[in-house]
Amino acid sequence: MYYQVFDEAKKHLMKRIFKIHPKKVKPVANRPINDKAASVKIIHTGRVLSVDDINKNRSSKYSYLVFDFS
Amino acid sequence: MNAYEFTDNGSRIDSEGVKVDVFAFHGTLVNQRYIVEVLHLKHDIYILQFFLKNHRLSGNRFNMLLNANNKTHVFYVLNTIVNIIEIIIKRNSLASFGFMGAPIRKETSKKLNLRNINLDGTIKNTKRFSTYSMYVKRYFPPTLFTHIDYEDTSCYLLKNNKNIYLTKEIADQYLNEIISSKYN
Repeated sequence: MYYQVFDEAKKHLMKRIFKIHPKKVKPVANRPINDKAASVKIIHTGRVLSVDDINKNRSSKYSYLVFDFS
Repeated sequence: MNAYEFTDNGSRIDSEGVKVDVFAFHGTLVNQRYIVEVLHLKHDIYILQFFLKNHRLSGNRFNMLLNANNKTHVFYVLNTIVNIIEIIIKRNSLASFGFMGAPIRKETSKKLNLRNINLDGTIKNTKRFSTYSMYVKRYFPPTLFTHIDYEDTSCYLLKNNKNIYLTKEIADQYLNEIISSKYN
């Protein structure tokens, strides 16, 4: 008697477990390319600063360093 | 100029085959040790980079800030770097110097700083770039060094006027090569 009840409960439980299974995800072909981080190349160019540009925010209380190029 | 005393720790070759001179100093005002690396690149360009010794193993070692709140210390550090530059000039009179103002963590955030982040991943006008560029304008005479400003990438080059082979075009091309190898 006890085993019968146990078996039926087990069957019932197994049915419930097998109902909850994860959805299978199918691989998607032809995925749009824009969802992938694309590498971008930018050409950077520098700006040569003139003496005025350098002195623009430069306080006169500082003196330039003297370098020994010998 | 008031600066910290530094030691020359010799040189090594890094994983990309670039020669790196290593210097170190103790920031006594904040009781922190610093490591300065000088990369020898093509065309006698030397790139200076420094970080706290405590951060040496971190991938973000150039981005982190020391929460010391000590302005004198900042100037002492920069003056020490200038003293290192003087040593390099003595070794190579054609040396040109470059730096990149590494972004702080806030500046790398797309949420907070999207308008300054370029499509290739470089960051415009960082806080460090504006500080360092102001500092070099103060002390490096335009008669000896041509100042080339790459504001879009927060890079700066002090081109040695003695080095006639290094033109702005070559410097631009070389910078773009470095950026594409690092960021792409």
